[in-house]
Amino acid sequence: MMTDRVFITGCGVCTPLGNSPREVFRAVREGRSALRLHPDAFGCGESVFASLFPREGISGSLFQDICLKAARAALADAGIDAASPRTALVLCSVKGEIEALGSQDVTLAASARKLADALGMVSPPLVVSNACISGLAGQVEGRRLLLSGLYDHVLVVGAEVQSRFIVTGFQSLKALSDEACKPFDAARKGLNLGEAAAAVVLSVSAGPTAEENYFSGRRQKNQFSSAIANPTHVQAASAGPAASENYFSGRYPKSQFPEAIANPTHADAVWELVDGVIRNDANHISGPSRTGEGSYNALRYLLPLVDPEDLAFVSVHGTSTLYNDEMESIALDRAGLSDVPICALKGSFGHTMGAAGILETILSMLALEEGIVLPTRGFETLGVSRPVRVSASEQPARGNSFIKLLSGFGGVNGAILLRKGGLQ
Amino acid sequence: MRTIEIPVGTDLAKLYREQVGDYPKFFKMDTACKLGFLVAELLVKEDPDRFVTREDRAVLVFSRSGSLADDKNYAESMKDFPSPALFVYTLPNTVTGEIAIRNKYAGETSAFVLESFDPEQILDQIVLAFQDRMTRSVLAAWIDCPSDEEWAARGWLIDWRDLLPPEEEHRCCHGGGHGGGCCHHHHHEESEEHHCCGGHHHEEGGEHCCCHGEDHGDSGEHHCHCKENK
Amino acid sequence: MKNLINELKLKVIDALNLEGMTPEDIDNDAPLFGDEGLGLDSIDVLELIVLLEKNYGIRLATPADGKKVFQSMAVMADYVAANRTK
Repeated sequence: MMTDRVFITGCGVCTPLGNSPREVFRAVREGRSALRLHPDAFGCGESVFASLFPREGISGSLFQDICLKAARAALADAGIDAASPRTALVLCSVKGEIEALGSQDVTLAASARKLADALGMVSPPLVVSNACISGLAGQVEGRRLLLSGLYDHVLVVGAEVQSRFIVTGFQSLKALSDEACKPFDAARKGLNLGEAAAAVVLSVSAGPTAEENYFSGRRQKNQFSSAIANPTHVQAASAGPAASENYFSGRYPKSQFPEAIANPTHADAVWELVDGVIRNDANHISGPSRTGEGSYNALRYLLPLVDPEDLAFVSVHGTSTLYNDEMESIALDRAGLSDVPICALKGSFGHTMGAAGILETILSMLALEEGIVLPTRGFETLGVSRPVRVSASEQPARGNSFIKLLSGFGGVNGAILLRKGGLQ
Repeated sequence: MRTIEIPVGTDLAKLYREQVGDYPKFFKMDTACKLGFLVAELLVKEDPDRFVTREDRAVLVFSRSGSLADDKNYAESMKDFPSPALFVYTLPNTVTGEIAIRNKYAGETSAFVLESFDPEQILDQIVLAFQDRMTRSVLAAWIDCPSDEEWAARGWLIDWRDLLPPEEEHRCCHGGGHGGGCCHHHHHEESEEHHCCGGHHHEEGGEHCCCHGEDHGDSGEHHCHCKENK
Repeated sequence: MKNLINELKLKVIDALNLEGMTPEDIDNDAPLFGDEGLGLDSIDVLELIVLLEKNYGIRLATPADGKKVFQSMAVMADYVAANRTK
């Protein structure tokens, strides 16, 4: 029985709209946006409407720079020791430092290692690169790492910087709008790219009757490992040797109630990451499923875990493309959520790809702490086929829980459920 | 647990024609997706109800290079006419997408980038995937493709039963549990096998798990081919 | 025009990785999209838009325009003949 619970104990951001969660929250609430027209951005030959960091005065990697800033802020907020072997790093990004392709090793693993070293972290970093849901997927992995007993804290950092590579790619897909994007709006015609870094610290609290869970223990090398290290050749697929040992055998001391949870510093609220899920449409490599299959299944997985009266809003993907927003409205409607307020934030800072799952979650948390649903900048008239309740302007929120929903290339869809005041 | 490897240098088009042959979209994929697709095909070819949509199988892909081979190809196309067909593959998770589309896997799909091929870390992530309450099996692959000509491609299909700790199930009981009392939670020395008793010694009066409590005839042979008569 | 259609078919086969197909396999008037046709999808439309610009200097603004032009090889060839700048 898993009685452990996972909480968000720290957060930090670095965005063109502000460098602290409160600052960005205030900007979004006041209807401000970092989206601008950038003539001939990255030498792409066309103007690009995007939310970008200024490039003047940047020496070295912008990606590393913003990751470090967001990460340090989150670590300070949580008040935990990054150097402990019981603290893990999960980095979430789609293209990482791709603009250096050709001049350096651009694997995200190298980026994660650099970041870990700069933060003084010692455990092997994990990189989640799952298209635009990476920030959510990273939190799902972080939660699992904590429930496994391997770590007490996980720092999850999501980041994306824009580049000629990404911009020309989206241009070739004709997915960009040359104006400020309009999520769910009848006049929407594409997305705006953005860049940002956002980080959360997740911490585990053993429940009062913490039992040995499946994963408790000390890892051992076993026959299973060797089957992974030496799979059989293509000519002969065969069953590997049977696992004869419990996978995670041994026991880690579990903190009963880490300091970071007992005394959260970032707000008056304690936020629980109740659960998270990823589901594939199994339909098309870049276009979303016309029936919103993956998003619907993700919502269906989480909804039994939340009291409908307590679900204040769903923070949607809302990229402002014709297909995505329509698909989301179908998924929401199928899941019975057409009466729940939905909020799309990309009209304030664009599509921040790897950072989106974390940045948009942090802003949603702050919104609920203020008791509101944030406005959806750019939305005026509903332009999807299902009657969903897009929050055109700020409104009071009813409930202590929200769902963050995202979709991405490769047919992926992700959702997490967060609840405020989760100690009881 | 099933395992497979596609050695570098294998003619993928030929392998596709020999082992698959009915999925022309194969030729639109980048090399990494072709490898992932083929690894998956070889692992699940014989599955019953192969193309029925299911949500209980997670697909995880691991690499160091991510989509590097396709990144380079796309970057080349960027010089004059950026290619959308190349761009859509410049993500590591498209490998899982292609596997999901082909096999109608509507469950979890995830992609991770590791510093190197680390079986322990890979196994950790596979085990963690079972925390999704619907996931009962994991199709995992290491698809590391720094260029169209060099790669490492390995795959594993792991069922939840493969991971049960010994106290709960013995392989030889095939899920029959301890009702009949295979080993009654007793520890086993490293040298002792469970697999159908394998000729090893039993507790006094203990049943042979493989026999599921049935009596043995006078001929004495156990179905498990244990050498002791009972 | 016959030459153009044939040339177009070869370019389409190459650009869309239609492995094993030859120009003879593609009927001039057969729909390119949908199950009865070559089964091309949204990414293929975008690649064909690139093909037109790269080889014939024709710029199509949106995928919607593309769908009209790419109804069949014959329609495409007519459009190219009428609008090519290369």
